[in-house]
Amino acid sequence: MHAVLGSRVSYGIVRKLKHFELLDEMHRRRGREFGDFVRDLRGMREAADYREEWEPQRRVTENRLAKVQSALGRLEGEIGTELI
Amino acid sequence: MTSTELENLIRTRLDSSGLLPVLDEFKSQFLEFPDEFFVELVLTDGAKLVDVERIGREVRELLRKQGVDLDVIVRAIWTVTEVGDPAGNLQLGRWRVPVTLASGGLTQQVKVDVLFSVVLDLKKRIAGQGWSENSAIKEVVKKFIEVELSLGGESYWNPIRDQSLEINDNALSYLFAHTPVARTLGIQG
Repeated sequence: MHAVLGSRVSYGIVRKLKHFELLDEMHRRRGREFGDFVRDLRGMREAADYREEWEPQRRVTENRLAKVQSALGRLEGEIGTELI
Repeated sequence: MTSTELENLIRTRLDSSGLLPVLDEFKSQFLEFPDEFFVELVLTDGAKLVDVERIGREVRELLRKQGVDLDVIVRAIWTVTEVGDPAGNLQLGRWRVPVTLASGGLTQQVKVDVLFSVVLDLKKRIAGQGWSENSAIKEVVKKFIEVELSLGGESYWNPIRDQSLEINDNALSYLFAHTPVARTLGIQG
């Protein structure tokens, strides 16, 4: 989420966005699939931080981490700077 | 008006024109922003793009009269149907690869330029892996096009408008790091 927040500057968005606004921006800028992916990541991070009974599923986590890395690589390539 | 009401309005218009079946419900989206609505209509048939674009314009004009701004993107889902043989161009310092895309009843030709530095890099990497230079380039080009087609929203690639792409060293590094193409070619990313 923080990397995506960083990328918003490249879109010319300088005001602070609330999380739900940021998700809408991601849907708009990069399509529904990517927006839904970021939303799922946010849900996973919230579950990990705030739900005691939540346990990570190794395959799901690894798969999402690989996708995050790929998405970040592409975002960085497009805006020409490192995001994290 | 809410985004749901807008969605219903557009769906009704598409339905009455017989175009609703080509709308991909899972990729299309209807979003509400503080100053305007944003709609992305994703079609399974590129042959219907012009008709759906017209409906998008009509709805935008209708809303404008009510003082509501609407930004509409209409795009199609494309698949790679053929990657042609690469042809080297020494003068331009690149290889040119013709690619055919299809979306429902519409086909589109595009070309991908692969820089010589990329070809040389690839040639070194595939040495001893049983791939010919041409087939390795074609494999990389196919994956590159698929990556380009994977983004939606305002970042989508419109192959009708932009018929020429380029694979440079950065693009090759990205493909090797983040797609299965290196594994397919049997090489280390």
